[in-house]
Amino acid sequence: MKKISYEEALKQLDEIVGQIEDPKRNLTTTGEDVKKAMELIKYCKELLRGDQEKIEKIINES
Amino acid sequence: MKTEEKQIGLVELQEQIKSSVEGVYKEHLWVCAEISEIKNHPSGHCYLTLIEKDKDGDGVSAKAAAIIWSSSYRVVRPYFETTTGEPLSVGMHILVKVQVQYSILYGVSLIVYDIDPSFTVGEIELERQRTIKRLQEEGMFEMNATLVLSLLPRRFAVISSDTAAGYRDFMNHLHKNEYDYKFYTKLFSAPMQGKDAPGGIISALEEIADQIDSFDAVLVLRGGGSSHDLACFDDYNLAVNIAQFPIPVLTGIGHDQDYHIVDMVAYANVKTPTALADYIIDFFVQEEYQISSLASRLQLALSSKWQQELSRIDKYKLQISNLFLSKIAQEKNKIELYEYKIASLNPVTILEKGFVVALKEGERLDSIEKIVEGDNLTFMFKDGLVECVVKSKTKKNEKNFL
Repeated sequence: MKKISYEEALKQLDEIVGQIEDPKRNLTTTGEDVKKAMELIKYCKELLRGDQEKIEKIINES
Repeated sequence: MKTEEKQIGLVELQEQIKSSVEGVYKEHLWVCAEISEIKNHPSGHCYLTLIEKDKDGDGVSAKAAAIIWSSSYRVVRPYFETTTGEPLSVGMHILVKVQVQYSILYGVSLIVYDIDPSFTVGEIELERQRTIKRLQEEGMFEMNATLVLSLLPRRFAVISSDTAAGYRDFMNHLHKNEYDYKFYTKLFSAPMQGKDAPGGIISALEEIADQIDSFDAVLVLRGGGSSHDLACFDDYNLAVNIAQFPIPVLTGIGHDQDYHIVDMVAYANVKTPTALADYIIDFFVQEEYQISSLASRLQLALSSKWQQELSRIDKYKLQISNLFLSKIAQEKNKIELYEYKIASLNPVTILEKGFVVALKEGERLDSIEKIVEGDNLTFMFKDGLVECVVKSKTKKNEKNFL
């Protein structure tokens, strides 16, 4: 998954969940979106936890 | 001739002045003045120079030496510091109870017996209000607060004193948080109380500004304890530096009294360093809650779609079943109709009804065409057969048959 900011990931997740919630969309057409939403949830949680190594990397990069 | 005029010695003159001055000022007086110099002598006495400035505040209109003997100072000093939160210092306005004393060697001096701290508190508060008004007029109050703080702030430049208990509490609280969130902190040491604090904190801010991209926010921390020397957090220059700092500045200056001006211009403020750690951790807790809530929404949406699909399948099932049953019923009706038709066409049924079937050489006749006179015909009745010989035949309409 492409590295995006937490803010961007959260925004995308919110949009996708909103689309999945749309009653007009049926189960079979949501497959890709569900997969993407699950990835985003995992990604956001990773950013929330953020291990020390990653934080140091962020600092070195900035 | 000057020599003919009355002459007196300096001692005598000074004695006369002393007598006059001390004769006029027999009682104690309350005098308000500004401290322009202060010296705490090792003996425990305190030597002050008191002044009154002119209306513009530039020049000095009056000046007098004052002494607080150690016997008074021991009592007056702690009470003053507890009430005002500050020690006696240069620039401070004080209201002192004095006895005017004249020394023939040193001239006039004021012996201080008491200081009214409430006067100084009022003066400090007035100065504070002036600073607040000035900062408001300059638009400094909202400046830092309108910056955008990252949703997950985790890189902090900490301005504190590494020996302060508040700093250690903060570090423990933040880094050993129960959720195991990870943070990066870098200490920029500065004095956190007294007159050196504003300059020290401003220097630390300048140092942080040189590496601004490495941090999400600045934290200004000071542990609890007495409220002595906290006036530094009402300093105009420090407030301006914080207000204009390019990233959010959060304060946790341990005190229970009213907010300091630095708190007012900061992005956010809490009462203590530990509370500041909680404030930061709470960002993550809130975000985690939001992610969980989105995950639940996703699950709910999927489960509802699943139910929707199931009920759609159920609906189809019912439709198919109804269709099937109606087809069966239709077929059943058809069969019954056939049964009826077959039953009604059965020759036996016909014979039962009293009709007769004619056969010629075993073949059923439905016309007289194939019959000629003299033919042997068989007639089938419900209860038996009759063999007959044809005597004649008459066609329909030939003789108004039937």
